[in-house]
Amino acid sequence: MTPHRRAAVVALALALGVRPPLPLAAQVPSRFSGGLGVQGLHVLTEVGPQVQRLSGTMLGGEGRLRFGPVRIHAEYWQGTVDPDSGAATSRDVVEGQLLLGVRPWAWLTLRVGPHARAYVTPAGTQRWLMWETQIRLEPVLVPGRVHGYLDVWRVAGASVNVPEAFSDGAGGAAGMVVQLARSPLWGRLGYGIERIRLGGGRSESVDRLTLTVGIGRP
Amino acid sequence: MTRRLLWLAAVAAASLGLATRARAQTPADLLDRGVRAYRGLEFDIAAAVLRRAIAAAAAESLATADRARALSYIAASDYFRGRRDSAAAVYRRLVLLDPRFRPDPLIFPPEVTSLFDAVRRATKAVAVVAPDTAFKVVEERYPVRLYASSFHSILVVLSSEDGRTLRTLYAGPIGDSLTVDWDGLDVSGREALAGRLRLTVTSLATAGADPLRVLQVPLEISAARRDTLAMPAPPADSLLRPERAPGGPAMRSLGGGLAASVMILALPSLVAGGQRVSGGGGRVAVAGAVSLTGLIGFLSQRPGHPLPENARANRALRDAWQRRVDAIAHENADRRRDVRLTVHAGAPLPIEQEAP
Repeated sequence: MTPHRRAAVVALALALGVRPPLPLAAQVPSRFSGGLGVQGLHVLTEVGPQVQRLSGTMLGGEGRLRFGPVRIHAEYWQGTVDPDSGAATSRDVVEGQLLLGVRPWAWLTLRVGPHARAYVTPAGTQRWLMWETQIRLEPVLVPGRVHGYLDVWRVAGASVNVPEAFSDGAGGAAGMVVQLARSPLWGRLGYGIERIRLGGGRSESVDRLTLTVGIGRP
Repeated sequence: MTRRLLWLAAVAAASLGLATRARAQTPADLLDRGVRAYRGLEFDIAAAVLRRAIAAAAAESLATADRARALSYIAASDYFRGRRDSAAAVYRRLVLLDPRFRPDPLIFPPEVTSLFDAVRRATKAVAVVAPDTAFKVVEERYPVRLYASSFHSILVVLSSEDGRTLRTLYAGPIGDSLTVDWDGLDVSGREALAGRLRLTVTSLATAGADPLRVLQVPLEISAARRDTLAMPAPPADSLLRPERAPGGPAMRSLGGGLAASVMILALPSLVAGGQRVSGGGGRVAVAGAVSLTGLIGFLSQRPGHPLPENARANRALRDAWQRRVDAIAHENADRRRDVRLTVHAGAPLPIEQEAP
């Protein structure tokens, strides 16, 4: 089973398992939205001529708070990526993100915040801390039901516990969020990719497919 | 000196006597003298003095009641002087002056009152009592009290100063008395009448016959009306929602879906410089799902597609406006009817009399 198929199966199980009864859903404050999901993750690490490809599945969740035009967005994911080939070792991946945003219009959100990632291997833990500035566009696809999203971000600065210094980084994501009719449940399907380049020809590219089921107003 | 004083005293006394005599020539004094002469059975003197009182009353004021009293004594005096025709003529004049007058049977003997009754029955006249009052149109009535000398037909109309009949209040017989009510409206029954009007009472020998006597009462009528409310403007176009889908939202859905799909497909090239990180199958699937959703959004909002929710909202808006219009129209109708008329009636004026 490929990582993407595994992610789809896990997301479906989560959706069926975590769906709360409606009276409970009605108690969720409208300014909060949160969900659990699964990610199919692909990591491409290049250190000079050496290339490592790893993939795996991560479980986690995301939450969002809104105070008028202000948005606070948080994500946490955890899983393991295994090498697709070669003699590389598997890594446990723990990842978190906290973004503070403002939404001047319904279709535009500007966000900024830290993005941390850790690769845990028997040899040690590699920690990445990146500061990202992000623009999110949200076009309406089906009024009241589905809206899309386009995220583009740049890494303004990064701290990695490797000898090479941070050079630059950027990323993007797109997908759609479906609000179920007469229900507080929503689902998100999206694809994202980011690349961080360090000195000495080292780079880290992460490609992910995300499926999330949540509650509240997305 | 003493003779001069006596002469002045005589002149003063004469002057006082002349003044006293001059005061005795007033109609009221003449009336009293005539009545005393009648009671003293001096019928010739009574008739003469009372006729002088009536003649003097033409120049000086004498109340209608005193004038009627003088005429009744003149007629009785004439009767006892053997002048029955003259008495009947005086009584006829008395009936025309005051159709409600009745001689006192304690003062005048039955043969005199019988003559009066005969004349009264033959003379058709009406007295009008139109009060000064204010009343609310339709809800209240303006009462015109009519007193007839004898049974006959009358026609009571309200007319303008130029003689146009504005409302016929009554046409029919009158016995002793009758009250004619006016609701304040014109002949159409919709508009209140105001301004300078005339209340005309025409006495007829029989219904449809030539008029015997016409009495007019000038009426000064002022109307106090409530202002009506302005009608609300119909809902502005800016408040109405489109009842058929415009093209913009549909194209935005389609464009948004396509843009997101293209972004998903192009992201590896834009971000990772074309470096292949994953197989790309999932990415293509997500791009396909997003573009398909955009297409669904386009089809669900395709231009010209009926929007029942908007049509319902517009209908509710128009219905609410129509309800407000109906309510104000009802209120204005009430306000138009809510007119208060203030009537000031002048002195009745006979404008045509029965031929002798």
